[in-house]
Amino acid sequence: MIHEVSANQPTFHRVRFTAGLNVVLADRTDVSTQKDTRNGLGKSTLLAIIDFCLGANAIRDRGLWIEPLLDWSFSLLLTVGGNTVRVTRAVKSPGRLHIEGPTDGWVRQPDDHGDGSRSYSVADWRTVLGAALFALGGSEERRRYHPTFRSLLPYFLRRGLDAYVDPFRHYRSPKSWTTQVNVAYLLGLNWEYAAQWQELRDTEQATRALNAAIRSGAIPDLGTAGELEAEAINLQAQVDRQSNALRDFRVHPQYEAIQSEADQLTAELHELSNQNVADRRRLAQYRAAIEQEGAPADVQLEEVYREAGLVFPAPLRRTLDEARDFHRNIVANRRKFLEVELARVARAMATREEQIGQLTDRRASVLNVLATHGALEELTALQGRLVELKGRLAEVQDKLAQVRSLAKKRREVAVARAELSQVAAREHEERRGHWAEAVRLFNENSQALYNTPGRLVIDVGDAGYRFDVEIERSGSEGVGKMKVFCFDLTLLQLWADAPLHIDFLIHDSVLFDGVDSRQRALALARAASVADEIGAQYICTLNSDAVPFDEFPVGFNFNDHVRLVLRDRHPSERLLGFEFDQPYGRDDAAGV
Amino acid sequence: MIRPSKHISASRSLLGVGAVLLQALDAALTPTALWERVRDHEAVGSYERFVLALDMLFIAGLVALHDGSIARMDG
Repeated sequence: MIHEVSANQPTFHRVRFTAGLNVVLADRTDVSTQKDTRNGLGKSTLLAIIDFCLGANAIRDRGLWIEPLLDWSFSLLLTVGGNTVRVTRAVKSPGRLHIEGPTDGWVRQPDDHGDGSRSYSVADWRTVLGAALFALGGSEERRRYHPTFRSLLPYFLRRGLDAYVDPFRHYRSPKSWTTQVNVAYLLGLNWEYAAQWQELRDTEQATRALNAAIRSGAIPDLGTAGELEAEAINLQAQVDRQSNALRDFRVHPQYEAIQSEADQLTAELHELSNQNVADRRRLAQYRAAIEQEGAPADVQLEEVYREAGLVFPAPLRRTLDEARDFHRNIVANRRKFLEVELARVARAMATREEQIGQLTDRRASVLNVLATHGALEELTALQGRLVELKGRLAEVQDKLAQVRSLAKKRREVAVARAELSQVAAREHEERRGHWAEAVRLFNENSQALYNTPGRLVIDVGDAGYRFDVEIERSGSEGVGKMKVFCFDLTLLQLWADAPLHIDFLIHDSVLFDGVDSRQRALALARAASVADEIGAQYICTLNSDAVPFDEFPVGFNFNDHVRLVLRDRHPSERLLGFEFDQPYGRDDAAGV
Repeated sequence: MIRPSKHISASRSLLGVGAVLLQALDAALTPTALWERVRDHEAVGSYERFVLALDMLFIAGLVALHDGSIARMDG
């Protein structure tokens, strides 16, 4: 129950509220255009102030946190959770809310500053209100998607045009899970199912996105399970081969030295072999010479001697005997020469043959070492290749796991979804007693306004909860707004018997725009009677020219419920008591 | 055989060979060394003719044999 709204500046029009119907009237006489950047009379500002004191987000240069209001602080006197307290929040230091009054039994106690003042952080204040007004215990946070004080309050304090379009949402485009989770909570349904549906949707979306990415090639060559399997087998075989090669590989530390020794030996062997070839030829020549070079017979020598005597003029110097000696010497020497040479060459060749044999053996063993060992670089290369292969294998196995888990995930989601639907449907039946009450109350409210049944539809399906409202006067002006009215009132009534519940509902004049005057009158009367009946509080702002005095039921005295009249004949008649330029236009419900 | 006749040309006769040998003997050479030098000369022909030519030169007193080497005897 909100008792009073006040501020620290004297120009502010303090307003007091009671149980039952409370109206703040706006009497606009000045014709102003949409483009008017001056602050309005203060209808939406009043709601902004109440919201501010109930822990709304404070955004610089938005809502109340603007230059002209920097020295302002706003207070709310309210009874909540069994305590009546005054809470104050300053515009320029919105991080804390000062509290005066008892806080016994509240789930959070304020911080004591030692000088008698106590304050809450915004978060703690929200926790206190969440517990006292919506029975939020904190255990809701175990779910990723869960109701919070700030997500539930707007159904009882709708701000801005977009908040009055559809009963189930209070801003233009909420995510579907927000609506489902919060409305389910408020209607007393199992909100956790709504949360679970969203979690499943998240998983589904993720796998669908991944699948799309794979198909579109964003994740290249992921391939099918079959392809990946084949590749994995192939790579494994290569890895095994490589591992074996590595295991059998022996490094010889002097590999290069041994290699050059092998080369050297080869060169030597070549040389020796060539020399033997040359010598073999020479051997053949000598043998041939020995055979061919027959010595001329003595007869020929004698003939030569005789002719020489004839040919040469001088008497012959030498005797025939001397000639014979000479002849024999030459021939004999020649023969000896050939024989010696033959032997020598043969010996040389034999020695070389032996050397060749030895060198060949040596080379064979060296080549064997080379064949069975490897150089260090080779080993390093082999190891590198093995590492690379193992890396590729791991990659492929990873992808395989991904592909497999993807398929598995999708199956799991489908199963979970089916299960959830079943369980939710079952429990929905069990809770029928409770939500049927909501349906009944909505109908009553609709009847009160239109004398026709109104249906609050609550469905459980594969996609989660589905909510709808129908009032059979869809042709009538402003029925949509009245659906919102009926729904909000229903919620207030639904919670009235709970030990911890919200006991106020606040509507802006927007709610009544475009609504038939008859319904306007009936709505206000209905709000008054319901609030009185359940001991709650209905606060609304209204333009004075929208008050349907002629349509009110008998016995209903509208003026008894007016708590404040705001005017624009003079700046001091506005809520804040002065005029200023609003940098971001008037109906700014997005900020404070 | 020494002198050319109508059957044997001058270059082929032993005189021819002898001329070649003398020319080759610019220094003292062993018979084998001398033979290696002149064996391919067309005038020389065979080892047989080589020996006979040497014999002839010796008989004429144009070469002598000292310590296994043949030298020209000029003068």
